[in-house]
Amino acid sequence: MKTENHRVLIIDDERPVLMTLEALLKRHGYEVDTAPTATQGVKMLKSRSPTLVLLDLRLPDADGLEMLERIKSELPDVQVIILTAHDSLHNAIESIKRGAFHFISKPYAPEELLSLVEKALEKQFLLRKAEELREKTEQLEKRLEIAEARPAPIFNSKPMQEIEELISAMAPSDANVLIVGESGVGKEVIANAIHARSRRAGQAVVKLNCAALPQTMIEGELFGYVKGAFTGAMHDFPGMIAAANGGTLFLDEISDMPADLQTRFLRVLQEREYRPLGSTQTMKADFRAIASTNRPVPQALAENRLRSDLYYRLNTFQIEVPPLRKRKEDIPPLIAQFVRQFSQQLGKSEPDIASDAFQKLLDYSWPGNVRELQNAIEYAVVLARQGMIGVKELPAEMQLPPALQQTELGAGPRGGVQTLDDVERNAILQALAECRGNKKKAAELLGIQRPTLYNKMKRYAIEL
Amino acid sequence: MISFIRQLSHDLRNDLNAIELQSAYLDELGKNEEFKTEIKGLREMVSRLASTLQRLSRAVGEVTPTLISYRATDFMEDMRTKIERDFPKESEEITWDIQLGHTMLNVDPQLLQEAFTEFFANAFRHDRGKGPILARARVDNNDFLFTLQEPKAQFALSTKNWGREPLRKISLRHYGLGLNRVRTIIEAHGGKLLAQHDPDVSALITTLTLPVSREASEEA
Repeated sequence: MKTENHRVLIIDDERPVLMTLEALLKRHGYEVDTAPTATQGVKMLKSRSPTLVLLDLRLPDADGLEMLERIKSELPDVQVIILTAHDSLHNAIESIKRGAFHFISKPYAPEELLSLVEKALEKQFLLRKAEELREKTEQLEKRLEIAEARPAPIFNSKPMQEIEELISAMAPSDANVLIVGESGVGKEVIANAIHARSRRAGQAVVKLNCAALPQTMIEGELFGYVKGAFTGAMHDFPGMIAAANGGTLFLDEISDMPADLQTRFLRVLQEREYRPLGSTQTMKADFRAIASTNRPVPQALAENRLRSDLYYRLNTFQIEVPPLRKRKEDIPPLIAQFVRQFSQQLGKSEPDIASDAFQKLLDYSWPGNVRELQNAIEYAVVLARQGMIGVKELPAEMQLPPALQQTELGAGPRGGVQTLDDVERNAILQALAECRGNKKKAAELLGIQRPTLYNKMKRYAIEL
Repeated sequence: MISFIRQLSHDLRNDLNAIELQSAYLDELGKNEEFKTEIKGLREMVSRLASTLQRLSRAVGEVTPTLISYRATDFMEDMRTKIERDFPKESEEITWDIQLGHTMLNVDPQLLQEAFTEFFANAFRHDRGKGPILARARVDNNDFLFTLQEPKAQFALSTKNWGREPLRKISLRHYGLGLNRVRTIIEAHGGKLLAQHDPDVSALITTLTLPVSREASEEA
């Protein structure tokens, strides 16, 4: 048992005992503090954080047993060895019942005392190790739970296979990664896959969604703060960079991070150092940065939503995740994965999917991408009757004719001017969608006669 | 022989500790007052036995002092406090005469205190005569000199081998090992122990000499 870094506090009013014990323990490598009274002992307990206390039962200003109870209630991890005279063996036994590690009669034999001290510290070491292992097991169980619940990326389609190859090649490095793609394509899933294949896989992946937090809060969340750094900072908070130490920091929707904070974060990436808010202490930053954005990069740069210097720093590797509608081969395995996942969660057996319902799922344009597919399957699994998912169990959006589905409705030129024809066509599609294909009601909603609606539908090639 | 006694003592003490814990447990189980009284008596006996064995074990054990620099005046002050606490009534009969200035000792104060306590305990216990016990502490020729003069009602022992004859005087719960232990402690500190009976004043005069820590004394 190593003696370094073990601080022992001796509380005894007998000066010869106090000084001899101090000398003996110091000569054997322990750090020692002494207190001749209970009052001074309490102060030392708070200020010196000892790992072991040698406590005399007969103190001038307190009862030793009460002192023992106080130590064990305030600092349960601290081991206590009772020093007692021959005539107080009863008290010594009482002290064991109240949580002391052991007792030793005065005058003690040095070798006996040293052996007891070593055993007490060994016990404490083992207790701490057991506690650490318990915490670690809990963490691992949580991670396992999350990993089991977390969807694995599907790499069936050609573009996704290329992404997988890229991940395999660059994951083991510490290179920064920028993941680009529409909302719901699985950018976070890709980030998790990179982390899982990296040498940091044993550590945490910490996620900060810059779009989900008020801009004023992002700084504190990211860099951490010390108590009193600002109104409401009631205690120290280490922040996400600290939490990601040794692991991966995933900044979702980086283009929603305030510009000045982007500059500060760039400095962290360059210098690998940062300072929590209100602190004068510079901390080391050891994390791999993965960022994502759902805005097209040229647009984000043009609108100054993403600083170009940060972009170039993050863009060591760029992964562009295609929308689900452009990789239909991934839909069947994704469906299978989600059906399995939600069936397990709901404690149901996995339902089959009727062929017409399956076709609907394949034909749908998935404007919300994989996230929308996930939600649709959850909905369907919940509603599944007699082990089967039919068209009726799919969300209403999917049951609409293809012409009325959301992609079509929003399919105007992005960022450009729509023609009057486009506007009219979209208005008709919206009315039909809202009235679930009922032309009479749609015509009423549009304020036109039904024949006029038919003519316009013909003109714009809208088929139901 | 010594290691045999130590091992035997150690084993017996272990058993006694177990008995003590067992009896403490029985005490908590018992509801009957008479039963509790009996258990209490039993526990006291066990406790006394354990204490005797510990003393015995220590008496024959090796002395390995943890030497530290210690002010002689502090040592005598601690000693006086301890005697007054352990022997409140008898200590009233002691006349203290301590003149040590800034003298420093290089000693194990706990072990040395154990030796000094044995002196006083013997003085109170054996053939106590009339008159005060004189405890003097001086520095003489770079030696710390402690003299204990105790009036004796009768004294027929030879002091020639004082402390070198263990088991010389054995009686109920007394094994004649105390002085032997005292001498071992004193000699482990590089000191000397002498005793002399002065028939003119009917007193036993015990003199203990310890080397002064010169370096530390000069610093002081």
